[in-house]
Amino acid sequence: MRAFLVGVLLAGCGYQPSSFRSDVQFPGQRATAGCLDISIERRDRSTSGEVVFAYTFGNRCDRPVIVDLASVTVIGRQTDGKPLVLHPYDPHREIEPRWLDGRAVGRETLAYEASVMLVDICVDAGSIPRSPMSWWLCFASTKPQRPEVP
Amino acid sequence: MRSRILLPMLLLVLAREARADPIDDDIAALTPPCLGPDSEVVGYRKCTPYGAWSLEVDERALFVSYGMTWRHFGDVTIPSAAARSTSTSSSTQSIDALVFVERAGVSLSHGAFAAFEIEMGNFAAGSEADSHDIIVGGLGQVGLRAHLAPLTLGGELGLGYRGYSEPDSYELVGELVVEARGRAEVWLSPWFTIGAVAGSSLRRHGDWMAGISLGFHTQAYAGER
Repeated sequence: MRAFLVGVLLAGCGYQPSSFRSDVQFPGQRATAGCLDISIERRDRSTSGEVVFAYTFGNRCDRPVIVDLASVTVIGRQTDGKPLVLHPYDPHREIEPRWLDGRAVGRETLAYEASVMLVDICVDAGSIPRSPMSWWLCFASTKPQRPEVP
Repeated sequence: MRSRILLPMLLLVLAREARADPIDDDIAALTPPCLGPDSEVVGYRKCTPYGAWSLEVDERALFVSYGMTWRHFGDVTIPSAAARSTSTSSSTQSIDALVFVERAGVSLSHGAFAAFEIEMGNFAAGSEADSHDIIVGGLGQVGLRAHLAPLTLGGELGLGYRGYSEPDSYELVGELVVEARGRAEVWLSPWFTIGAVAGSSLRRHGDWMAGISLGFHTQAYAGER
């Protein structure tokens, strides 16, 4: 009974601001925008060549805060220097703004279709909680977005 | 006529055979749907819907608490054992009871809340052997609370029914209950509280109660911070 109560209480501990630590990992680059502590990790899917970003976010505040991954700004830079706005792969149209409870954490992994070679890709972490301030996190390209055919 | 049916079926089977890769099929069969390489990626994953972490703010914050309450009845009429079979003589005395309480409620707006609780217990040991033995009750409540981190302080008014029985009878003697209470809760985490409550009957002079409880909330800080 005592172990159960301790387990319940530990599981219910809220996210501590700026800790970037919870029952889920906060891998990748970190930013703080509004009430959100955000980490973004880039992963590449070898099979399709899509760019994949894993977003982990913790609410620093006691009140609910919006998490808008549907309109987060993701911009890739092509080899000729031109920017390319990337949109998340969402065949079921399920990505939409959601509320994150006070002191809660969440995680989502989104894929972005990129049909051309990108030198780097930048994500505006500030756009996730719809903050007026931009906070760009940039990730260098590690490999071509499309697998090369020999 | 028969070939018209068989030919398309044959083509369909051949097309499916040509498209299928036996190695891919084996891997797909061996890989649990929630543990594949794309199991986390929105649009590919099958087990967890998008936003499983999210909160429906349109829904009101609910809370449930479990606790124990000590009740003191200042003036209870108890028929004496000898008198019960022969006459209607009785005595009055104060008596205590220990009850377990389960309470569920919903946050309204501006710190207001509504709740309902049920209680069940026994009159305390040490009371007369022929005194009431079971006590049950239900109470609806409305109240107001304010947050003074890490505390929540509130007051509430309750209206309900309480029944009690004697050891040698299955009949419940019931009465209307009107109670005023003060409550203090400490937030152990955004979703758990430990609280203390004290109150007094507005109908019966000398009746009071005090208790402790553990509370669980569906939204952080009852959705009120």
